[in-house]
Amino acid sequence: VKKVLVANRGEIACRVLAALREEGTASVAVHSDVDAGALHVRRADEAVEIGPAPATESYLNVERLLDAARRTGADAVHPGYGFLAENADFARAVEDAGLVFVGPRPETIRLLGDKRRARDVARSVKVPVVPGWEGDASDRAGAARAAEAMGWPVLVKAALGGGGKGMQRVTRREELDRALEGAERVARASFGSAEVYLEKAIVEPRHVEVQILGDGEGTVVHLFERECSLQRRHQKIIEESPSPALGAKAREALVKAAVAIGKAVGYRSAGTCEFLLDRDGSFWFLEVNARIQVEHPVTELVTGKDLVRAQLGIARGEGIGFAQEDVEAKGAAVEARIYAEDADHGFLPQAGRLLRVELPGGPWIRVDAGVGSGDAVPVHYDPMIAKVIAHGSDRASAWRRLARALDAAVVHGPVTNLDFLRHLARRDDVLAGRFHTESIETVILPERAKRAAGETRDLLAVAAALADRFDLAADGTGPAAAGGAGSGTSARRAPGPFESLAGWRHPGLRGGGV
Amino acid sequence: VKIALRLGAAVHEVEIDDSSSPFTAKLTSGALAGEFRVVPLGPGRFRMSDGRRTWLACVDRDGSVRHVTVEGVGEARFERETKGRRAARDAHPGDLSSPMPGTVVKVLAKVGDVVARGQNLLVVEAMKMEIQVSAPAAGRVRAIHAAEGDACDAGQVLAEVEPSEEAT
Repeated sequence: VKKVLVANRGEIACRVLAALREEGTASVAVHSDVDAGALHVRRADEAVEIGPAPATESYLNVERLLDAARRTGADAVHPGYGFLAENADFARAVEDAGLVFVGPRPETIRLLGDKRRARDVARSVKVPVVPGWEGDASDRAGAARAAEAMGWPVLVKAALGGGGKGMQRVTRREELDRALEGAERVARASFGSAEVYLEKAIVEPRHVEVQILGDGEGTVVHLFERECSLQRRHQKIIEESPSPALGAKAREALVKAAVAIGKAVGYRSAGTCEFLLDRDGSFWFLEVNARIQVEHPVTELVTGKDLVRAQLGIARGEGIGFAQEDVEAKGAAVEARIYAEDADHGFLPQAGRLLRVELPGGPWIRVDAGVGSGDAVPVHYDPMIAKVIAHGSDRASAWRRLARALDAAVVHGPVTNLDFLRHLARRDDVLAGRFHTESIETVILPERAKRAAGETRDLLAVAAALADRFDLAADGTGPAAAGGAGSGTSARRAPGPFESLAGWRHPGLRGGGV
Repeated sequence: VKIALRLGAAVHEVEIDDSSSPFTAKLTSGALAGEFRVVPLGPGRFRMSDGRRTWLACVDRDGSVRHVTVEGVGEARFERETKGRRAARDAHPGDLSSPMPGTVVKVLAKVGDVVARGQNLLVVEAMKMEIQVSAPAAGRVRAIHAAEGDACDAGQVLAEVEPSEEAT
C-alpha cells in the first residue's frame, strides 16, 4: 500500500487524506465536476475527475473509480463511509483489479449487509437480537399476523439497508401495508432489493455501539462504546463516549458481545456493532456497520488510537498494531455534527454556497470539516458541513467545551442545525445523560418551539442592522463609502423593512456577555 | 440611518449613527431598547455593548439576505421584504412546492381531484428521507407539474390547488 485512492468526498475524504499524509503515503482524490475545487481535492497529492455531479455517475461509479486508480497507479482504495463503502461488489471489484481494499473482505460486507443474516451471526454467538420476523413480506397477511404476535409498534426495515434508510415505524395494523409499500420502494431504489423485514420497536431505547478492529486472521479487539441516542429521523447528530447509561458490568457484556460477533465472521478492518439498550439495562444486537463511521473521532479521543491508521496497517497485513490490553479509555469525548438542514422544518436538507465558515478549534476541541468558506454544499450529496468533537477528563467538561466551541462557530449561507446543536448542549436532560433515540422528536423539538426571549430578538435585530449598514465586502471594518460599493447594494439608500427568513432562534437563555 | 426589521410579528427599528467613533446603534423598542456602542473587529465582525454587557456579532450579506450570528445568543436570517415577494406569497395560496431539492417518487393525485387541506399529494425523496407534500388548502387540483422520477429544486411548485369557496 504505497498510493491510496480515496473513493469519497467531504470530511471523511479529508480525514483519510490526513492519515495518508502523516504516513507519507501518496494519495489520490476523486471528484465529480461540481467538486473540482472541493476541500478534499486540495488535500490530496493528485486528483481525478470521475464524472458529473449525480453520485451514480461519479462517486458510485465503480468503473470510473477503478479507471482512476489504474491511471494514477494507486495500489489501494479507501472507501470512507457512505457511497460504496459497504458495497460488496465494489470491494470485490477492487480486489479483482489487483488492488487492496482498505476495509472488510467483500464476503464479510455481503454477509453483514443482509441484516437478517447479520442477526443469524449474532444468534450463533448467543448475543440477543431484537425480536423480529424475517418472512416473506409480500404476504401482507402473514406480515400482519407476525406484527400482531410481536406487539405494536413494529419497525419495517430494508433487509439490505441500514442506517435507518427507508425504515418505517408502524403503530397499528391499518398502517402496515402502506409502511411496507414505502419501505419497499425506498429499499428497491436505494439498495436494489425490495426485501424488508419486521423488528419489534423497542420503546424509548438508547443506541449504543461498540467499535471493533479485526486483523482478518481471527484477532478482534474492541475500543469501547459510543452512545449515539441523540438522533433525528433515525440519523445520529450527537455521539459520545463513554455512554452515560452503561455501568461497568453492562459495558463488559456489551464489548464482549461485539468481539464475539467480530470473531464469528473473522472481521477485518474497522467496524461497529450497534445495539439497542433497553431501559432495564438489557441490550439487543441491531446491526454491524462494516466501515469506518462518522463518529469514529469520539473513540479516537478517548482511546488515543488512530482508527484510520489502524485500517491502513491492517490493509498492509501488519495487523492491528496493538493488543486489547493496550486499549484504555480515558476521560470523555462528545461529537456534534453540523449539517446544512433546517431543524425548525423537519430537519430538511439545505444546499447552497457557504458565505462564511468559522469553526474555532481551541483547547480540547477537534474539528473535522469537509468544506470551508466559499465552498458549496451541493444538493447532490450528504449535507454535512463539519464535526466538532470535544474532549475532557470527564463528561461534564467535554460537554462544556462542546458548548463553548459551538457558541463561537459561525456558518452563514444555507440554514444549518448549529443553533439546534447549541440548544442541545445546554439542556439539563442532555447534560444529565437522560435521553433516548426518540427524545429529540418527542421532547426536545416541542420544547424548543417556544420562542426566544425579547433580548434575543433585540440583539439579532441590532446585528442585522449592522449587516445592512456596513460594507462588509470591502474592508468590513467601517461604514460603507457614500453611494455604496462592493456587493452593489447602496448602503445609504432608504432602507426598507426586513423580515426574518427562517425565523430567529436561540440556543438557550444564557444572556450573553463575552 | 434608520432600519426596520421584522422578527415574527414584532418590528424592530434600529438607528445607526456612524458620525463618531465608536459609532452607535440605537434600538427604539424592546427589552434592550437603548443605545449600543459598536466596535468593528474585522470583516463582518462587531462587538456590541449596551454599557453593561458585550456581545460578539458576526454578519454577512448575500444579495438581499442578511445572515446574523450573535455569539452565545443565536442566529437569524433576514431578507428584504419587497412588494413582489409579498404579492407572490399572497397570490397563490394553493401552490404546493417542494420543501427540499430531491426526486419526486410518488404522485398521489391527478388534475381535477377534490382534495382536503393537508391531504398528501406528492412524495419527495432526498438524502434518506421521504417527505409528504400536502395540499395547503381544500379544493380541486388545478395542475400537477411533476411526474414520478422527476428531479425537483427546493421551492419548485409541484402542483396547484384551486382553493374551494368554503376553504377561502
